[in-house]
Amino acid sequence: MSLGTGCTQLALATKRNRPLRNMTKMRRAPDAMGAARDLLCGLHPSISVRSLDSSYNCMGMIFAARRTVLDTDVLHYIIDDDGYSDLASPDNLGVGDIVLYAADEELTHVAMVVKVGLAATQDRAPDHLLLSQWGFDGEYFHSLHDIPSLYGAPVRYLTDRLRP
Amino acid sequence: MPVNELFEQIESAAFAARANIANTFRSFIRALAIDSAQRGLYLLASEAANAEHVFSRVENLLRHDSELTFENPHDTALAAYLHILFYARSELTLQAAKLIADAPRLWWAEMVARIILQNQQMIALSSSHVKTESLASPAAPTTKQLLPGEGVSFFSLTPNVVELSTADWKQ
Repeated sequence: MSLGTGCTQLALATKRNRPLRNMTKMRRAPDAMGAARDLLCGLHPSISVRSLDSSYNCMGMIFAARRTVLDTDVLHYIIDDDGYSDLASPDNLGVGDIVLYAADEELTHVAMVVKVGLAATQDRAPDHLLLSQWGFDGEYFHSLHDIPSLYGAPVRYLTDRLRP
Repeated sequence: MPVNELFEQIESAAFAARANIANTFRSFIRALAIDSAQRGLYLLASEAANAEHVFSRVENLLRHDSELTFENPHDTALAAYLHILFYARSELTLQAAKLIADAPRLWWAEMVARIILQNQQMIALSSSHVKTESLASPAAPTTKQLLPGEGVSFFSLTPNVVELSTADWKQ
């Protein structure tokens, strides 16, 4: 599928050189991004904006250096080929690790840990700070559970850290 | 809610912001399906006169000038309208899809349009050889039309579209 004027596919592959289908995307106008920021910051008062670029999605932010759009369908290739492994719980997350979100058993979102906070207690989720691109509405710092309801809930915690 | 108010909501910046939260096409369709304005138009567009009104909004939005360096600001509304026409089984769906597929600087709207057009090609191809149940057009609307996500899964109502959209992204 070719999409949009000027939309192209970048040469992108996993560490085992498996090609990853992707599509570059035009930016939305600044006033649209401002409206998105106002809406989201109103709904999620604890988030803060990092950037209001709409030329990549959450997958593109983390796995393609903010250059393009990838579908979550390719995540299993990346997890297999790039050496990601599952962490037992969010308490084990470290900086650079990623969190997968799902709704109705479908992967909807991926976010990266940028600051490790206090571990979970009986009545509180771990206090980590995450960064992720929210669709084409911009990139936000947020907590583990403070995300749009469309994304569902965290389902997997992954790391590519190598430890002896 | 009056039709014109639904149009205003669907063409608003807030609607675009809510729908553009989606990271994938499947999530985008889900975002549309749970939006109250969109759900209102799903029902109203089953009447031919309202479907014509939706189609005229598509034509109108495509005529608007916008800054060439950015995506068409009506991308989300166009995608929503096209999905409404498709869901309502309007005869204007293909015409709208062709108009949108030919328009520049679109993202979601172009995806919806191309999937509808590809789906149509598959239906045409299959009917010229052997008719199969799985590739047949969606069933005619019943008296009590279900909304996406109401009673049955939206995806189960449009299996061809979802399969095609997913296949387009797969390796």
